[in-house]
Amino acid sequence: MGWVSDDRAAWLASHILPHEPALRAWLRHKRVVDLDVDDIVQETYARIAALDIVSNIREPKRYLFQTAYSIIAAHFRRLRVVSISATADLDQLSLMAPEASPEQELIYRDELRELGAALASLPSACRQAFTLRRISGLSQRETAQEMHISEKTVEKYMAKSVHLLMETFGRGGKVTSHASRKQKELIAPYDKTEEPGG
Amino acid sequence: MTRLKSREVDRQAAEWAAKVDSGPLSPDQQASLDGWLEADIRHFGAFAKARAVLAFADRAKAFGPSFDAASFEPFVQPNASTRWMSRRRFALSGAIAAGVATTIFAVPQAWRAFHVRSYETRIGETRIVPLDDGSIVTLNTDSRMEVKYTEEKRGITLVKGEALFDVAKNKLRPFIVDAAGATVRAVGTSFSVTLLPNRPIQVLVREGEVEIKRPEILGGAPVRLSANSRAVAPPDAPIETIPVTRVEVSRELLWRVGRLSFEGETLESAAATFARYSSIRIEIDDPVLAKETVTGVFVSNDPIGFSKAVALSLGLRADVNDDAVKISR
Repeated sequence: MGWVSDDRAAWLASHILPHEPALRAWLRHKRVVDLDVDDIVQETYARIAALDIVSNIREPKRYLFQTAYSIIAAHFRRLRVVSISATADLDQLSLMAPEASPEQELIYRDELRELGAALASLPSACRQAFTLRRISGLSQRETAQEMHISEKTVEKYMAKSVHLLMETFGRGGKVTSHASRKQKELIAPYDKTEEPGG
Repeated sequence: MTRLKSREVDRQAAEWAAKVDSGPLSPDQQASLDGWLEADIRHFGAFAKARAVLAFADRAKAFGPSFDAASFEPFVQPNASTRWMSRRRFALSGAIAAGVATTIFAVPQAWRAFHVRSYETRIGETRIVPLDDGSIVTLNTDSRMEVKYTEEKRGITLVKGEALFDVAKNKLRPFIVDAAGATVRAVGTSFSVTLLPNRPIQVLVREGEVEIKRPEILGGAPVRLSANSRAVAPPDAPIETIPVTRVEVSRELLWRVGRLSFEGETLESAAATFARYSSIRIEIDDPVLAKETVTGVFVSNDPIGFSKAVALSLGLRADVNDDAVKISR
């Protein structure tokens, strides 16, 4: 499949990650039957991460939505039998991607504030490891010494932090009622689709 | 291979991203990661996102070594403005301390709060506009709206045309559409508003419930409108509500996919509808012909195709000029 370079990761962080909540909202609203929003989002990231170049993408938000749409459309093309409700959903989704993003600055508006709050909401050991590694710039070994734990444990805390931050940023939510909401989401299956008219 | 749940995929991707971040992988680890990435396209996608999240979190360096996550903890309601300011100042000083030049703070809060952004469509165009709060507006042909979000409400002014609003639920911040003095208020629902010249304002509710008010009409009590119903608000008469079927609602909203649906409308009225979507006019000179009825689904910005189809089915002629198509016997 390829690799995700540092450059590509930074590009995704700047141009795609901020739009993931909007993409999810769009997909949820469309209620595409039989397709899981999480699956579509993951595959969308894969497609964009695997591109040879991204410098020619002028409107990342539009590109993101179009990519997601094409994944859904391809899914329906592969199906032999498509239910009427599914085609109606696809119709609804339509070929139109949202307009380019003049709201760019708005999306970045509270970026650092949200980041700060997201870090604040991590469990304290995770937060400490993450802060030492990422903000103070310590190595994994130095972090382990500082926290009097093993390097392996530092890595575990980092992994957990990344996972929690993936939840927070992707679902875009306010970090406010973060903890309780996340708990709920982890238990409830995310966004069960419903049959229109059913 | 067992298909993992998305969350489990995310978790494993986070583990791999942390491992990659901790130092160079051994050849064995690299092979194992490669195998995992190739097993399912979602693995690669989740790994890409995990790497992106780490890259994003690097911006926290702007907080500087004195970063204290606790100072972020209490922020709950966005309208706690004084606290917000101090927090912002804190973050700003952190950024300066870290010597990081950033444009993130170049957009002052006050400016954002009162900034109005407008969107419009040309004739024959539709446009999907995702808004900051997760709501989505679909603008129909020849329409214009202004978006003015504040911390108390999500304000939209429909200046002209037609729009469908898929509103993200937020009870604390109502979504209010103003159309020529009538206001439609929702908290989380899906409805369209139509504002055309010389026609009463129309509201069509697809899901949920909205409340319509027209303060300038004397004794105009607010009208509640639930799913699958339509309200017509003439300028000088009370608001009238009409139940419609679910099928009618979808039929009427077909414009979102560039289609128009007619069921027994007169040719005259169909021609008037097409005029909203194209600068090519449909001309029907014969008044008897104008009362013929049409049924079917047509491409909204193709009046010529429509005219030809009608001509074919009714045994008429459709002659195309520069800017008009004439239907005659």
